[in-house]
Amino acid sequence: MPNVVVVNVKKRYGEIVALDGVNLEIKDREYVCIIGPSGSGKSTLLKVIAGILEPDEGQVYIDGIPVSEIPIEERRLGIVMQDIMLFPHMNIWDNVIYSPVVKGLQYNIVREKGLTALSLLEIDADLNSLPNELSRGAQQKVALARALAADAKLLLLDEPLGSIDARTARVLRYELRRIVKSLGLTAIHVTHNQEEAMSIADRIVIMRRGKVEQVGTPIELYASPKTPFVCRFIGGEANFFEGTITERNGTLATIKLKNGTKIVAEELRGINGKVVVAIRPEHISITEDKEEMYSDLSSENVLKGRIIEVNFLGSYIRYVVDTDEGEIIVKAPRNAIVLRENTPVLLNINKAYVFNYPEEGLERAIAYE
Amino acid sequence: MNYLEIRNITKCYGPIVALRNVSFSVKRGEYLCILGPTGAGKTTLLKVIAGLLKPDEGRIYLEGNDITDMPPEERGIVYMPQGYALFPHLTVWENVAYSALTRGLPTKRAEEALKAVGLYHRKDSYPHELSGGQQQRVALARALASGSRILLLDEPLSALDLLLNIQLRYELRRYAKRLGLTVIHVTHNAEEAMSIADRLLILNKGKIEQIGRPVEIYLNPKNIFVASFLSDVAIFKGIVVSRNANHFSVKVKGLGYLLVRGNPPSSKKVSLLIRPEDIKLDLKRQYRINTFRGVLSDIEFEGIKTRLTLNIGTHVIFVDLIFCEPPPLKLGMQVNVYIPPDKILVYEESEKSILEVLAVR
Repeated sequence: MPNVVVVNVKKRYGEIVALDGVNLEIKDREYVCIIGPSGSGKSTLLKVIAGILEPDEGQVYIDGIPVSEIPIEERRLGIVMQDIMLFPHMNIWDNVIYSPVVKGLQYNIVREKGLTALSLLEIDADLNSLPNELSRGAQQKVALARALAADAKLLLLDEPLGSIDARTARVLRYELRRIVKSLGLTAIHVTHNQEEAMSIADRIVIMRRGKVEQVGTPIELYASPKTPFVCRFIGGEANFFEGTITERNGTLATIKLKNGTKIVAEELRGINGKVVVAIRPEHISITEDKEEMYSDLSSENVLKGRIIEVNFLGSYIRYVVDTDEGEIIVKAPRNAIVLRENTPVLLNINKAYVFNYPEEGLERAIAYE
Repeated sequence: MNYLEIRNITKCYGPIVALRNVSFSVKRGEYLCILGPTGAGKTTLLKVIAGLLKPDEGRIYLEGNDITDMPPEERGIVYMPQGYALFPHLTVWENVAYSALTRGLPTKRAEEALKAVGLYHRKDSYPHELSGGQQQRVALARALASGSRILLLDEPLSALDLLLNIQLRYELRRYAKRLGLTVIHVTHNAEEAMSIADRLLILNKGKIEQIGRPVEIYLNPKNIFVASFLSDVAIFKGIVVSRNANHFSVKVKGLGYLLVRGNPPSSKKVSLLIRPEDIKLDLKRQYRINTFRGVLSDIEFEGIKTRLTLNIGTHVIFVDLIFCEPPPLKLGMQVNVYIPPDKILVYEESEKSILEVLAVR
């Protein structure tokens, strides 16, 4: 149920700045995923929100109250981590009802809470079995059931599917979302898996080097990345080029890439001089250059090249094309014609993102680790 | 002549048959991916080829020579097990160049391999100073640099983030091709396997289900197992009710009638499969046959594709919209879809239940 507000949170571990001024607002009943490369501060942020770690500066508010001032038993947090923290010597049932029992609730209430949680997660394992007799996926479901039986309203999930095999994780992630939505909970879910985040989050927070790089719905992040890093991180395999704006005409601007290719892009407010151009593989159309028609390539948003690699991905084909501007990745729907290696091709660029050239240089700006 | 030939290999662990009469061959310089669920026998097969396990039956030939009884170290085959066993007390460089350094050979290949995995700048670090993904890449570099002509890789990319997995899988293939290596790469990730394999071998319960080029297998899967391992196909069971020259009609419980192009199989009971990207949204209701109305229960935006989950009667199916902006859809709304008759895969229904066929853990 609760909303969470993070105000200017900073956290250092000795020399290392783990969180460098994080501001964030998470709405009531929202499913938010925090993603970022390892070391970007996402787990630290989750611990600060949980009140497990105290920030050096700043504050976290849950429903308007500083988290440090809420007694732990009243925070109504459910914390589920990658390392499944079930009590190994207790059977499934005792694990699930642990919190209501400790609170000293009447047994009929304890029983109801336990049974409700188990049925919500559709756990059909023998309740007398010990955690290590269950698969990892089933254990994680029990950990979630335990959090629900404890009346958690805010779920804090740190790589909850990280140690579960891919197929089970795919199924479990929908169950997670379904439960959060049907019970009206708020969930903050840390993951390094972009696909997982894209598929279940209402909004995604992208962390990088202790800072929030961008927050938005999956579609917003994909359609309007604010930085080259976000463009690389969401969507995958974008092509990056250095270029310079050479001409402006109303809202249109012409950018010249290193080896002379001209790209025309729209709405480049506040972007000047040296730039980074990012082009997603699916925003390029590829056609066979049958007669090598374009001997003179003066037209804009067109590149000539030769296919050097063809990869089949089921519903689409990935091509690597060697061009004057380097190797370019292109993705095209699977249809009757699959072009072969060495075919001369024309690439038409349908959409490009343009960013001011980052101070740290392009390579570092899109580095993943 | 085949470069590497695996002939009638059977391997049991007590009563469990891990490999059942497995035969296939690999060409020199080929990149073969072995794809299958957990417990299919993938790792056992690699270990048999490496010489780490002795098969109960069958022979292995390398360039025509029987190597079945040859010790592993004499085969010229390097096996990289799942997980990355680096020497903790050696630097990245010493790990990668290990075999060259100990034999007093040039280390150029180690340098190239380390550069290929993008970690040359970390050559003086120790394994514990690297992330899991980086350690995995060092282990890969070590395998690449070993000088062996045949590489057996067991889930080499499974510990990596999606982004790194994608980046590294293409690099791996490229590097193998440039060095002319023959690679057998085991994975349970269908996309990974399809995208880099010259040929794909689908293994299930110790048996080869199908072997061929990825595009061939994807478009013409031999059975329901293969089809559903490579794609999240919808499966409809039904009964053939009528046929004409080049179409037949199937009655599907909880759905209605489906028109299918082609000739029906001999059995009346059939399973019809359709891939998510072959189902079309029919918002304007322009199709007159094979259209079905369902409730939209999930929308998953993944960039290049948007996956819709539809509940049609008692069926739950996936529809993938590839390369298009997601149309304005809301959860819970009614949506019409069209199933093209020429995109339906038809299988005779076996006596086994579908769950049994798909026993994928």
